[in-house]
Amino acid sequence: MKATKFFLLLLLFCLCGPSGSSAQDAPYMRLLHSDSEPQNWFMYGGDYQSKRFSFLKQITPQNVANLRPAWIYQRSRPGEMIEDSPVVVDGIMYIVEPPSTVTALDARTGLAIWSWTPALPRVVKVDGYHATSRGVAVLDDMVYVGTIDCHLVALDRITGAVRWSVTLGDNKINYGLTAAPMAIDGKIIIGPSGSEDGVRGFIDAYDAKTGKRLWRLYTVPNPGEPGSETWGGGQILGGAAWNKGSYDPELNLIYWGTGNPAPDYNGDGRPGDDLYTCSLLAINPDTGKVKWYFQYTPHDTHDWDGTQVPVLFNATLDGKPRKLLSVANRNGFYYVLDRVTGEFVTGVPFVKETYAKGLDAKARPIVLPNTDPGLEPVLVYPSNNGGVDWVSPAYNPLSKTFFVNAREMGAYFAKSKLPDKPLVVGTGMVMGGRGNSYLSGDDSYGAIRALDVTTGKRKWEFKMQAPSWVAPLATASNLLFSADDEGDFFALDSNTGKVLWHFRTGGSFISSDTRSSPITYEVDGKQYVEAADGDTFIAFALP
Amino acid sequence: MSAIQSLAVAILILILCGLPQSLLAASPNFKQQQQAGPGAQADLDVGRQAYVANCSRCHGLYATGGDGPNIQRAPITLGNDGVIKIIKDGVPGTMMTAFNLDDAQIAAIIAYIRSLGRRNEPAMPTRGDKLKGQAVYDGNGCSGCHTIDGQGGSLGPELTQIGSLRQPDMLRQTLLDPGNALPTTRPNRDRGKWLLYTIFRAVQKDGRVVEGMRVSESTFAIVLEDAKGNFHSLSKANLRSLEKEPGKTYMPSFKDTLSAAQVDDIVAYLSSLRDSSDLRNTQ
Repeated sequence: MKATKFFLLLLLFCLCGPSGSSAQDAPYMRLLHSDSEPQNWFMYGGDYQSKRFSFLKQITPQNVANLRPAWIYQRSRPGEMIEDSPVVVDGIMYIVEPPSTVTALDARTGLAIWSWTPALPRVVKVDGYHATSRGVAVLDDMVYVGTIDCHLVALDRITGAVRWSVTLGDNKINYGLTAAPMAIDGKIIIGPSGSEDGVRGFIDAYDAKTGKRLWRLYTVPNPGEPGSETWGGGQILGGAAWNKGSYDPELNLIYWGTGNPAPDYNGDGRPGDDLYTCSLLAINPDTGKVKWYFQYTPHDTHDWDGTQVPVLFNATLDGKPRKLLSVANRNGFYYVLDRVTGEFVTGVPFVKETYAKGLDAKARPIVLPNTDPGLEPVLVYPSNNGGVDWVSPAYNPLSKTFFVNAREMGAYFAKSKLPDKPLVVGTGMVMGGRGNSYLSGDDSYGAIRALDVTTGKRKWEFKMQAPSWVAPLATASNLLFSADDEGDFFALDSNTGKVLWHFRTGGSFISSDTRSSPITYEVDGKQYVEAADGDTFIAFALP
Repeated sequence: MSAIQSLAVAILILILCGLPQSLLAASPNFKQQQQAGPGAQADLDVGRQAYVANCSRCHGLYATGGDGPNIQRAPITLGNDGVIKIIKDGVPGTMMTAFNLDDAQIAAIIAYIRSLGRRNEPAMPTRGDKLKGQAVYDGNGCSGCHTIDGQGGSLGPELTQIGSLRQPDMLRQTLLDPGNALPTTRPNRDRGKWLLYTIFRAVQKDGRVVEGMRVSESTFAIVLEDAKGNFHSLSKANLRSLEKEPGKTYMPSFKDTLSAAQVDDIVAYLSSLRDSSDLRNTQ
């Protein structure tokens, strides 16, 4: 208890320090107008449009070379890779240490204020995903986190005390939460992982105050329901919606991607398009009803989940103002859709693509022969991790540039014989083959690519040693931050792709330990850029 | 075989293989499976297909190993139950995941592996004489670059346990055509394997040339080790060019300097250099 008191005193000190800031609630209206508070990083993608863009301008192309670590926080427990994207509100940073420990840090110093760790069962099932978390959501006076054993938990933002906790699904059959929740007006929305064991995907909405479930939307139908006819009479499995979506409050729609069908690499038992897997769903957050859907990859057999976070933007096309969204999808295509109707606007490859020679007028991939996993392995680009996996893009609305961390990598895909009996969900992985026999590192690379947001046309690229797992972060001062797979955190000129600064945070030639989503914030007039790598969270600032 | 021995073999196999699948814990629901002995009626083609799809990435198309160990003799050394347990359970804390394969598929895989073992017996290194091979090793300057039991140079890989790590065919290929038999890093999570001992030629902006083996590389820098064992740390921003030299290596080919019998002998010698915990050596 002494320690608790100490931390509370520390909290008070932090909150009532020289800046005069105070512990305020983070009501929906503040989240809604996040652009007007660039000192805060209110949510996973920075804002409801998921731009990963900041209007902060203290760090510029001219001075970025002077960036240096302001503090380093070493995670408090060993575990899986950090994949967190922190949230910062009023000088407090909320991080998730793998698998599900929420820690509040003083964003000025990196000192821990409180930390909450769930009591996890001795055996936690994580087939097909990592025992980690991509972050929290903040709303009013609470912090929300999904735990690896599939509970959604509301914590007091000031003390870390549990306010409520609900179970979404049974971890014994492989349901687990790795995504950052979405907080909108009075609701917390999240979907679990688990499709590699065949579990049925869903998205849930909960009352933010009480934890009462408001609706559940299954991403794949029951037999006989609309969409079930696209499974050819086979077992309907998978479609986990395991990443975060974006939100348009004016249209009152959330946009949420769905994962792959199961088994991953052998589609023989599910002939058809397998709706609504590998799709984007536009959902009314009040009802959980789907307004429209768009399937990226019909009948996926390459593990190309469609769970990438869409970027919402407006543009004028053919003289008409349009409400659009764009997605760099795991199947290697960059898509622009009308976010009112779901109408397909544009789709072009953003990485080497040997699966399809293009998209037809209805956006259906024109699949090339010999690309389905065979009994003999077949080489396909992109790999099973796709042109990009779950790593979010960034979008600079001032230059109308979309930034994606592209994976230039092929893999050999092979299928295996399916069991004769129907699958019993939760009895183990149902991959139906393998897709992770990668080409050698010397034959692969990663690249930060800058695309024109409406056409997908490449403006520039910055090549990296290997495909990387770090989201880009764009700023209004024309900087772009990201990191490579060997642990170098860097800043580029976002207009040209030229390297302006880099800092070695760790990592190695042999292993990949860098999977973060950098953010930026400001406290007491000083701008910080945060990046996680290996076992540490690092905040950089100018001297 | 004792339980500890079985565990040692299992751990060795699993440490050497690499599947990018994390596990907090292995599936606890292991059940004893029926023996799929040599007389099982499993279809070898089915076994081969299942093997190629699930196992070949680490253990090679013919189970002779690659990044992972040779597992041709695994059904003999571990017994069918041991192999079944590894396939079904994986092992916590290693890169070996549990595979959701039905009993018939596992039986077919085991039958396939057993068929390979018989087929490849003539390729085993028993035709060489390891004592003669040691003399060939000592008489051809190998220790100038390689270390065995603490003795020797450091330019090439240490060979103290090379018999556990590399298969005879790969050792033979390395002796005859070393530039095309370079080892690789092990696969790590979702990262591809990288060629080790690859020679690069770096031309710096001031015109100086550095040639050496890649020790480490990132987007921004590369470390090369030259033929004399000197390390060079190079910032890529200061380089005019950086080119791989495919097929080149500091190790000479012994294709024309050793007889076929001497190659057999040295392969037998190197194959005998094993980790003492490698129980395959006791078979």
